[in-house]
Amino acid sequence: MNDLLTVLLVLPIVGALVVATLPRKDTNLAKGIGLTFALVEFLASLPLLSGFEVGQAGFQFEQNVPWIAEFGIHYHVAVDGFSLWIILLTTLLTPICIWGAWKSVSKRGAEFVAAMLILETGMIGTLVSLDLILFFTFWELMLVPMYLIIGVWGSEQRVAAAVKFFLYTMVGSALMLAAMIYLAVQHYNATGGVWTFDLLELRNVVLTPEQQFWCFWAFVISFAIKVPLFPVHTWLPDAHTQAPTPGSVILAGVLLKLGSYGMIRFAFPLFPLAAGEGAQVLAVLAVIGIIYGALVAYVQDDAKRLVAYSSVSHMGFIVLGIAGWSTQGLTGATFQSLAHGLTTGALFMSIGILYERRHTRLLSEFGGLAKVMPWFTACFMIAMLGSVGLPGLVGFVGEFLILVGTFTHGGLTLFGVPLLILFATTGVVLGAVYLLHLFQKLMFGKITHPQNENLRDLSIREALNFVPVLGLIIFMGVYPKPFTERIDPTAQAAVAEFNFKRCASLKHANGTKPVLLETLAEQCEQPEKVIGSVYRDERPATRRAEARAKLEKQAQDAAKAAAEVEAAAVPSQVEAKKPARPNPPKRPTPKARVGAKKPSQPTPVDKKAPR
Amino acid sequence: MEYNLLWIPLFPLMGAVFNLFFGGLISRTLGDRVGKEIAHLVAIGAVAFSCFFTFSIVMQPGQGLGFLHLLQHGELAEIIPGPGRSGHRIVEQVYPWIISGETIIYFELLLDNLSALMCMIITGVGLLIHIFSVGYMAKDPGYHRYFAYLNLFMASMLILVLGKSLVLTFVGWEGVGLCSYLLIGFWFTDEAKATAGRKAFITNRVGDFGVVIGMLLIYSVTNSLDYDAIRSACATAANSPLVTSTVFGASIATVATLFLFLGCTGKSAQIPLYVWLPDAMAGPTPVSALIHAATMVTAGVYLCVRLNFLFALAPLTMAIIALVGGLTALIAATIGITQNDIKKVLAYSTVSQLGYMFLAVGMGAWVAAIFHVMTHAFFKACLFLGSGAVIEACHHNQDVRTMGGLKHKMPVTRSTFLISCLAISGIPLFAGFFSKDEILLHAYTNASAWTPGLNYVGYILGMVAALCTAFYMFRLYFLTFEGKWRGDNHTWTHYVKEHWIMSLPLVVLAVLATFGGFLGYPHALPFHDQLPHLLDIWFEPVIDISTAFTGEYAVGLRSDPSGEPMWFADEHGHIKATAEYAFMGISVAVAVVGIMFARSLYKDGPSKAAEGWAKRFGPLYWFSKGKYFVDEIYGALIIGPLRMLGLISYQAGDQLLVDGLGVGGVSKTVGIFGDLARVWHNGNVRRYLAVLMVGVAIVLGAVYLNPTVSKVGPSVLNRFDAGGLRPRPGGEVVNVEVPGLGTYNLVPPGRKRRTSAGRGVAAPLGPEAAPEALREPAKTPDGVVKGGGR
Repeated sequence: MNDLLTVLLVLPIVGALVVATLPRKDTNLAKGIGLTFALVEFLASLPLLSGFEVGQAGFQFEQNVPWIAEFGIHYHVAVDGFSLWIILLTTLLTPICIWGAWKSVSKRGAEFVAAMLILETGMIGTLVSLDLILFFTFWELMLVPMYLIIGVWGSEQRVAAAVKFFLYTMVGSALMLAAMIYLAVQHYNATGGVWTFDLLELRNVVLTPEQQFWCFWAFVISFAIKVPLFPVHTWLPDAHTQAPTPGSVILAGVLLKLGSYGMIRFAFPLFPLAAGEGAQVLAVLAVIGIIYGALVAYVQDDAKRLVAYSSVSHMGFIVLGIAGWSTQGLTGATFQSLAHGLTTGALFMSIGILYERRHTRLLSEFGGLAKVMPWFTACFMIAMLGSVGLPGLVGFVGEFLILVGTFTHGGLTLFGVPLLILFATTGVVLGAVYLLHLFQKLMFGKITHPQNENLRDLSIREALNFVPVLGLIIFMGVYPKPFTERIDPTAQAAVAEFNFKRCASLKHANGTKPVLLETLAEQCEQPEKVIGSVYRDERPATRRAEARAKLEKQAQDAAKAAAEVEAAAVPSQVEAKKPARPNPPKRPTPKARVGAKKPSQPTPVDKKAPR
Repeated sequence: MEYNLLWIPLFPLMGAVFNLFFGGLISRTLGDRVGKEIAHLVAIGAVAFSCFFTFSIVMQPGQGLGFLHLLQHGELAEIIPGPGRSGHRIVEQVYPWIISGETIIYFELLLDNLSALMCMIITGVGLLIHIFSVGYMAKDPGYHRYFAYLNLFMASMLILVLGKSLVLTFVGWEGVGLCSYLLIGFWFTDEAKATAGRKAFITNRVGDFGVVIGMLLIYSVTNSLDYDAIRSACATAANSPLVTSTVFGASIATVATLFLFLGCTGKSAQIPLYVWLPDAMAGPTPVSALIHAATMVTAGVYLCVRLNFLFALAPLTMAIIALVGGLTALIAATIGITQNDIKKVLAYSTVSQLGYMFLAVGMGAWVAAIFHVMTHAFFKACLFLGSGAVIEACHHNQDVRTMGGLKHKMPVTRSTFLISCLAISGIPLFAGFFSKDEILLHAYTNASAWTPGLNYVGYILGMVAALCTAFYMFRLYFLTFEGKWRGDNHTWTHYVKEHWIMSLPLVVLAVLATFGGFLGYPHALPFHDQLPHLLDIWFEPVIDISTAFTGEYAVGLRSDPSGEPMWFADEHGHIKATAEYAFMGISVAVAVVGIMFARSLYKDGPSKAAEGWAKRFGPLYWFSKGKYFVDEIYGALIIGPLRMLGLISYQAGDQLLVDGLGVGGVSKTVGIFGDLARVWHNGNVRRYLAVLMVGVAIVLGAVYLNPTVSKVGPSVLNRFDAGGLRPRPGGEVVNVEVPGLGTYNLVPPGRKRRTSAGRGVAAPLGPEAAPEALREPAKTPDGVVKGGGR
């Protein structure tokens, strides 16, 4: 059982090698063998689900073998609630993509299949790696096949898009690698000479606030580019538009999630103090992305570009959930990753089907398709409604959890009130605006182009491709429990660990060099008490109520005291009136919040204080 | 016997799935005729089952809710306690739906007296409209699709009213919105109709945004969205956490209810989001009857009454609701006067009647609001179905100016239409009279301490709207059924005859529109002892908390500040019978005036007098006929700018700033430097050598011609060689002079130290400071020893 992940990693590579040795001419044979490997891979990934212990937060299917022992680099792979479902999504989408490309990819079919399989290994590897160098290896491994898929099998401006994709991602990767090595060096220093790149070991290092700041942003920028977060999103529309359909499906379905996954797995837990302060910035960017992506999507005339911008908007929700770092937010973000993968994947598949038939993606070239392609319209509609976030379909559950998580678990506010969430929720309206616009332009109205009159409805192959995706869109919306119950314990543990380490970081805020977590452990037996006042405080409303109650009590006490004074001596009327004023100050909140924040915030003055 | 509430929405859902998946297949294999038979049998069967199921649970005393007992004895029947049954409610937990952390949302259904009445209305009226549709849609090619959507709507609506938590209600809430979208755009090849559907969906989504925010606000306090949890959180009135917690400078209860009400204005077509409903008439007429008159649009009222305890804690919201309701009632009624499309008139009439319901909600007359929901469902469904029959008869012409005299051709339709018109106008003994009169009575008498004078405003708005209602309804009636035929000859001779399948629902609804009002028989009228106000009794368990509120949150002040009872109340706080009679008298008089005025103008078709009146009120008439140009204003203020913003974002933001200056700028800068460098890399070895020589010459020259370097000589370098980069005292700073650029201080590593500002600066040169820092490098303040300090 412990080798299962290795099997999953090796199988596609073997497939790619087999496909690559085949004769060039017979692309169908190559596709067939590739598809077989992808299906076997999917079947092989199912024991991951059956063997996964529900309710357990930690890593499962763990395997740890030394790789480059001198530097403590290990082949350390494992699965937990955050990665489990995305791995399964990967193994599900890959065969669908290969089969979906049966007709559309004709030139260099074998190479295409090989690239898809290598890409699959890269994605799974990224999701299971617990060693930073191993993670980075797979992270870069993913890049090459994706670059080729866009650059070789894409549309007209494929090369420009591929280069843009590559450069954007490389900038992020470089930053991340530097931070990784720096982190390992700090661990080496803190432990007095132990080299390791193991995430589980590195988590035990508490960096100084300044170090956390730089490392956090180095990681986050890399991941934010992948997500993509506003304003580093512009590679995505180009990549999506130019990529072939299977490329777009995998890109939207899995690749983008690796950015948000990286934030959950690495950036936040490793650097909790910086994450706390950075979360606010991330959340603001995410909300801008939600609204901006939606607005820009609305004015696109290219269907694929429209859906690509909708991804920017949807991924904003996921980042918002992560920035909130609450159980619901993290569960919601992971669930929303799946939701977005399925719905947007299905939308890209649909547009691919149209492109195959008409060789255009312009909205103005379509209209009235519901008449000639009813089944296609139905499939498109389910995917669209799932994307809009209709309750009962997959999109709602994730969005709801993210909103609940970020709204109720304080922290993310704008000017002290939950305005941020208010803005994020407008995405609910805007999502309907651009997707219904897309749907109407494609499906409704009269058929204005004679070429559209004889369009074929879904073929059996296309229909079968849709079945699992649409089935999941409905099933996960109606009965999300099997999914959330596997994510949730991990999310809870992640929140607890984050709070603990954040507390430790705060205790260490005046430190000048990194130390190990265990030296601070006893100061953080109740981390919530320490961190409560800085970030992730209780819900703002209740806090305000408390503050108000406190002030009222003070007023009452004052009144009482005044009454006592009155009883003791005969006071002047003016004095008696003053404290009896019934109205407490209207907005006690900002004061209370600021007052509470002060002591634990690392200020320059604090630094001089003895530790 | 164990009840399974889930079957109530599940039957229609299964019907929908069957028709969606197999409807087309069956039509193709068994022929169109048989296919249609099967489609409507399945759909109607599903609704009939669910209707039967609902009624059997609601009616039966003992294990059911005992509505029959209420009808017979005028009192509530207790439920025999059992699993999921207690008090006056039946609860069924189906499965846990969304679980994460402490958030647990069950798929849980609740049948209490409120949802029971709603379910009876929905399944009952729904069944009739399904039957009517068999006739109306007979020739449509999308027959099975139509019935599938209709069934899907029933399922969603039933989940909406049966849901035990706000989230589940929201599921139904969105579900009905979707069905509404699908059914308005049912004839999707017509671009205008598809656009109307989209408009409905998006307008509703604006409202749903409010519902989501409202949910989040409530959740942040109660930690649950279960109605029972909210109810118990509200039970402590002024001490409730919902009131004591604040956000945006007001209590959570106020802000949350305002946001929820935004949702209600969307779903229930109130100002400012009512604009979608008139356009929704693009759908098939039975759909207008079921969704856009009888059931879905009342969901907002249902939500308010369901959360009455919460709304009652938010006096500000209540005042706003009352005002919005009253204004909507009046404004929609004034638009209804001038419209010529038979369905448009009915649509504005629906908006107006919904306004009455919200007026009732805002004045805290919860029972009256639901009472009006019920009677309105009867007479408005009857009116819409009647208009459907007329439209069918007139070959899908909807303009009343080209109708007239149809009473000779369609007697059943005409009489049911007339009954409903009498009901909506508030003629005594018809259903609408009782409910509308109750609303207006409460609008006047339910004054609250918080907003003095609001009751007069509400009452006057309602009264004027009542006058308009009577006028435009009878204008419609006279133009359609009385007078002479004004259309073309062909239509008149080849009109579509009344068919029993369409007449039957009309008759049933007309009967209900006549007698339904007796469920809320007023206290003042004779025989009250034999026939009490049944709905008051029925809803007691639903509104018991909010009626018990006192002080600021109490509705219905019966005495002025000095303690004197108001003129309409006796000393026990009850409304005097004489006062009630007075209010009834005014209402009836107003209705009769409206009807008589309509008769005088439109008895024989549009008269000269009518034109004269239109001229007299020229600008007003123009405004009303243009629907106050709200659509145009919204288009100019919201939809246009939104698209503009998108375009600007795309072109200025993405293409110019990020790609052009940001990413493009970086790549271009790199490109320029690359181009510059490329000139040198031309493969000419001799040139490389020449450049190399020049470089060496410059470096050597800089070193040896520089006076500082040559003066210090090699000893400077010796300072660093021992112990790697560790500096020794006296060698802290090296001055390097670059010709023409000035002197640079090079600080060796390890000599930097932090100050309070946190920036590294050169250490002060001096014998005291330097040695201390150097002897024990590990203890320097920043702790990080660079340059081999370890």
